[in-house]
Amino acid sequence: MKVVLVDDNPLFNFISSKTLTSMGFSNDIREFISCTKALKFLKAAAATPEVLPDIIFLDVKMQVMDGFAFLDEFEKLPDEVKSKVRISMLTSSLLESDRQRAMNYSNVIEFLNKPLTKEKLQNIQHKISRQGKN
Amino acid sequence: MKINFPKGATTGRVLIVLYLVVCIVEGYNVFPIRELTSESIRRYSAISERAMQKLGIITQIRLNLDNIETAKFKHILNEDREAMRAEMVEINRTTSSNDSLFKELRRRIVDTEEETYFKMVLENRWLNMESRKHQLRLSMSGEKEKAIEYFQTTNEQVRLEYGNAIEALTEHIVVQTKRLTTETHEYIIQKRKPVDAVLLLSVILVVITGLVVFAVNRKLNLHNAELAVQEKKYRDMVDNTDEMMSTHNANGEIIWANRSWKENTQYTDDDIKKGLRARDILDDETKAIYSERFRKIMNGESVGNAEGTIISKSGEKVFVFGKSIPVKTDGKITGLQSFLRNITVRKQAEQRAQESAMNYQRVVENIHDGVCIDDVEGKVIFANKQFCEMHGVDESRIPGLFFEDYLAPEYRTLLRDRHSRRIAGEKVPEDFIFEGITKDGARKLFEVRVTPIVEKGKVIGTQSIHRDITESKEAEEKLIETSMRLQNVLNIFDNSFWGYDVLNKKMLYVSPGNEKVFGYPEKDFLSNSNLWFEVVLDEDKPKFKDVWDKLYQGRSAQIEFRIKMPDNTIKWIESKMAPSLMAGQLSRIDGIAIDINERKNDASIIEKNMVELKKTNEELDRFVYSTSHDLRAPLLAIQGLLDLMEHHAGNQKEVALYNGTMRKIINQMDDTIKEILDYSRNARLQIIPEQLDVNKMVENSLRQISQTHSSSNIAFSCSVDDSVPFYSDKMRFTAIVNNLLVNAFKYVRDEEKNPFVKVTFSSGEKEGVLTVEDNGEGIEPEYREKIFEMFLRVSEKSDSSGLGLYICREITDKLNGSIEVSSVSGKGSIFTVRIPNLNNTIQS
Repeated sequence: MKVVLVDDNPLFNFISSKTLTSMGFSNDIREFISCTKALKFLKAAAATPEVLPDIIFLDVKMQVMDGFAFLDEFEKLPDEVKSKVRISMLTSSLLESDRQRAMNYSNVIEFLNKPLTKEKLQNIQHKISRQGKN
Repeated sequence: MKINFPKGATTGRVLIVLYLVVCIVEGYNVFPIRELTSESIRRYSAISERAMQKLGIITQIRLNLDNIETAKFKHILNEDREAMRAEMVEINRTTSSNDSLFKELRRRIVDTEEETYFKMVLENRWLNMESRKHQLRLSMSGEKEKAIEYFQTTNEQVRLEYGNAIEALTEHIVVQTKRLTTETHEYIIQKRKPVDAVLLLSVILVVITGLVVFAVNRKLNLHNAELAVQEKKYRDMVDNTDEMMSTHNANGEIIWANRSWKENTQYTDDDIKKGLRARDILDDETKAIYSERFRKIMNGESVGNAEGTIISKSGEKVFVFGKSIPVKTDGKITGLQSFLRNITVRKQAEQRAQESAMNYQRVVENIHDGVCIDDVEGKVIFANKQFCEMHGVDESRIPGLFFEDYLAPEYRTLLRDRHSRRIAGEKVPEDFIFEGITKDGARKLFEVRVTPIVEKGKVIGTQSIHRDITESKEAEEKLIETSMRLQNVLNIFDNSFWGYDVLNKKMLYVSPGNEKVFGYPEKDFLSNSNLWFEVVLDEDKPKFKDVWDKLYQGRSAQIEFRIKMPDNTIKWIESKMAPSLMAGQLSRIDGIAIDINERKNDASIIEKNMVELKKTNEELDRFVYSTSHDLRAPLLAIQGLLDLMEHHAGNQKEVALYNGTMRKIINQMDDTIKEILDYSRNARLQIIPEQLDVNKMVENSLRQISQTHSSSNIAFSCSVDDSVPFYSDKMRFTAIVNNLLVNAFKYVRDEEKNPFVKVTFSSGEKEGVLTVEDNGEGIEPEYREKIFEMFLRVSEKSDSSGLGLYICREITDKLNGSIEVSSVSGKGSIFTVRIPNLNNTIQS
């Protein structure tokens, strides 16, 4: 499983990355501390789909460009990217309005609160495999 | 010699011839026949003459009375005094005329029975006239009610009895005359009997006695003509009287009627010939009466007078009054003779009088005013219920109540005098107000109108209409007092109170406060009803459309608008208006205009404050949201790290890594909490100036930064010139230094080989200037102002709350200083802070 982490606080990326590997969820993790950089990577990867991640863990509250702005930009990416990449929000926000807003985007499959845990990851795993079958 | 036979039927001639033959045969019989003939003529003539004369007189008497009878009610109804007086005269004249007629009649009375009837008539004569006079006197003194009541009880009865007496007398004369006529006839027949006995024996002597026959025949002819004249006289009388006469046979069929009967019923001789029955021309009620009377008469019983209604041929009601007598043939009753008078006019007048009396009663009893009639002495002889109620007197005391019983003492002399003068015919006030007093001492105010009752140019009493005005007078006084009080109140207000007559487009009143509000005195607004609208600013005039709409719907309205004062200044006015509707139509508007200029100006300040408050609230919201996020984020990170430590519990290297990370996170959190504290302190705490050692403050700050930031490769320099002692708030100045230094160290560019941070400070008498310069990331031009806003972090490197620069701006504002930045993106930034030197504050 290929994973991309987007969080402007590198500490969180560090913790998430450690958790993903420790739980055996993924060994192929890319960390981004800015949305622009992450989008740039995805655009470039459209040509080489094998590099595209299966899932992106996306923070909501970020400087300069926040999670929602990222999702808006993501919608404009080529179909090759959108058809493969799923997104799970990973945030410390407790606002229900944030959750509803995020779930309106077709590629968002989950809205998780930090930090990642074994149970949360199993749930994600399950959702991805079920969608894959469809 | 030619025998000249008398004209007539052949049988008659034969009989005469035979008779004359007998006369000749029995010569002695000639003279008796002559005697007999002249005797019978004389008797018939005398009887008819007498009856005719008497009936003529009675008819005249009755005519006299009827004339008065039919006219009399009209006067009472119309209260026509002149007519009533004329009637009095007429009654007097009639009375004397009738008196001589009665005398004449008296002379002709022949037997005791006639005498009795005549006396009855005479007895009733005075009663009739006197009652009528009394009734008129009552009416003329204003006692119409009593007059009518008197009429209904006494007069009617008298009139009927009197009528009956006359009827009886008439009937007696008619019967008597008939009886005498019959007797005479029988007498003559008796005398003729011996003549009849020898009739046949005389036949042969006819021729011889031709001459005698001729002579006698002539004589008889003359007698016949005389009889015809008498009959004509009768017929004339019958046809000229107003009495309706008719003869009915045993079947109830009318077989004869006189002219008056035919005129009144409109039926003709042709109708009579066709067998018209009396009952067919009567209304249902009269039909029953007639049937009963017809039965009685046919049985030989006598009947009195009766009233009834005939339906004329054209369907009109004819009221009649009269009686019937039997018609006898050979002593047997073969029908009846009816004598009727048309009393329709009188009957209708009576009905109207009755209705009118009831109306009068209703009016007097139901009007709210008190009505009373005083006689010349000031005695109340009539008063209605309302009068008694309003003056608090018992109804049983009327008549007999005097002025003094209900007038307040101070009015008694005045009004008694006025009454006397009014009676004397002087002109005194008719309408006035007086105070009354009831028997329990309560005083009341009355408005009264007095009119004299005049008879024959003399005042015989007064009629008064009283109205209790106590309450309305009190209400009026109260109203005047209230409106005066209101006026006084309105006058002291600085507001303009006004009233506008919509229908006449006229300003009704404007209070003196108008000048303070509009700058124009109230007389300007009164003389030009449109002026108030002319001074409204043109751009505010359309706003009044909505106001008019509301007022025309009967709702009150309110509006704020601007006017141009006489001195051309603009002023805010508020006006509240209330409509008055008349029959659903807007008729009047009352309102108040208030000067709200001050309030409006205050309002703009408040509005400004509101904007600020809103901004503050928004900031506070953002602050709470961000703060909770910023405090929560590190905790969640620690939670994640703890999970990992648990997972890698045996791996010393991993655990040490997580420990270090955790410490870093805790430091960040501590920074955030400090920033929040700084923010809160700046907002809340008093400014406490003291002399600052800027060098030392920079050193302290640097020491703290080195604990959390790797600053080993950054060249740091600091040059402080505080030769002029610098006074300011230590806590706040420290916060500025800390924040600026932290930022300088934080946003070092990784690719910069020789990163540096340079701090300078120099103090003057007025202010101290602090600069912090670096060659770090710099700031994009579009963010240069925004960096001072709350929670805005423009760099992805930022890991703190984003409060730092915001707090710096807040503090410099609080200290009346300033903070600016000049920066080139990717090259570095210089922050310059100017803080006033608060040395003066300390020295003083």
